[in-house]
Amino acid sequence: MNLAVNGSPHIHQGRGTVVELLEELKAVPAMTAIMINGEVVRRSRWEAVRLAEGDEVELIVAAAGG
Amino acid sequence: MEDGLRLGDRVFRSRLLLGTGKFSSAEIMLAAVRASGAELVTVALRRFNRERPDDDIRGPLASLDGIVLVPNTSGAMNAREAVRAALLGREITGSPFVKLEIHPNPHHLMPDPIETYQAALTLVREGFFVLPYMPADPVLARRLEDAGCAAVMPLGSAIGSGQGLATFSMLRMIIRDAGVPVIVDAGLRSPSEAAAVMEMGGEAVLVNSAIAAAENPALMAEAFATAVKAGRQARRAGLMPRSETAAATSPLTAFLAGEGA
Repeated sequence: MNLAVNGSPHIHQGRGTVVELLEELKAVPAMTAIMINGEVVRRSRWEAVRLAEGDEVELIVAAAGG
Repeated sequence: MEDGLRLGDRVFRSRLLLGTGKFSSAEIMLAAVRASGAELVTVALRRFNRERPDDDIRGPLASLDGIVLVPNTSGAMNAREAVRAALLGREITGSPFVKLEIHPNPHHLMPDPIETYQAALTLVREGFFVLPYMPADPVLARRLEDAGCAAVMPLGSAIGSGQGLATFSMLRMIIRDAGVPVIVDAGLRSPSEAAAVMEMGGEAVLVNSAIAAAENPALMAEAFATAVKAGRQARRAGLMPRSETAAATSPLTAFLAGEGA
């Protein structure tokens, strides 16, 4: 499945769950937030959501800041 | 807890909030947080980068006990982006607090009062404890308070400038009228400025650059913590009234010219 992850093309090999994508990218689920096509997906909906061909995904983490 | 800082439904012992930006390493940042005794620590958001997993600051911060993270909305250019950043920050940290900051101009980083107010309305409705970074404007402070913000955070001077309390007289007006805690954020350079904020009745200060850019950040963090404590104690103790004239502290009768033996 072709996705855009953080602005770059990414070919997803799994069934399109959020957790599969995070594992594929070696992102730590507990420390990552996800936005799909501009919508923030709450953790409670991770199980229910399925990624689709062409989705634009943003993975966001905490960084140093004031 | 005696004399705790009330924010939202929480009470904190420490009145020094710390930012985590600009430290030269995660170890130095952690040492400064520990030395500061801060319980509220701000973090920013960024895109996940699989090449640079160490940029993720939650790992290092997880080693600290008793810390509540306050994600900020830095980078947001308007209310819509700030709300989205706040939602992302809540997903990452699980924290009910958000430092709302919208400063579209990188030259001066002054907060946009209109977008900040709009975002505050939405975020309060979403159940956040909103801590808005704002210009030192008493009218806006009241509006943000009425919007339901958990505190207001007027600036001392421009972010990272070290220009101290350039807004001193405005801060005094804000503090006098505020019904929510006033946390002075941005521009502080020295612990004496933090003490001055506390003496005039500020409830807390948020410091980042002054500590991160010090030669010894952990020592400076401790110095700020001490100053904040001293300033708060002075406020609670009640400063003596000012007098236009001198008032002697010792008897003025000339002891050599006196009656004596």
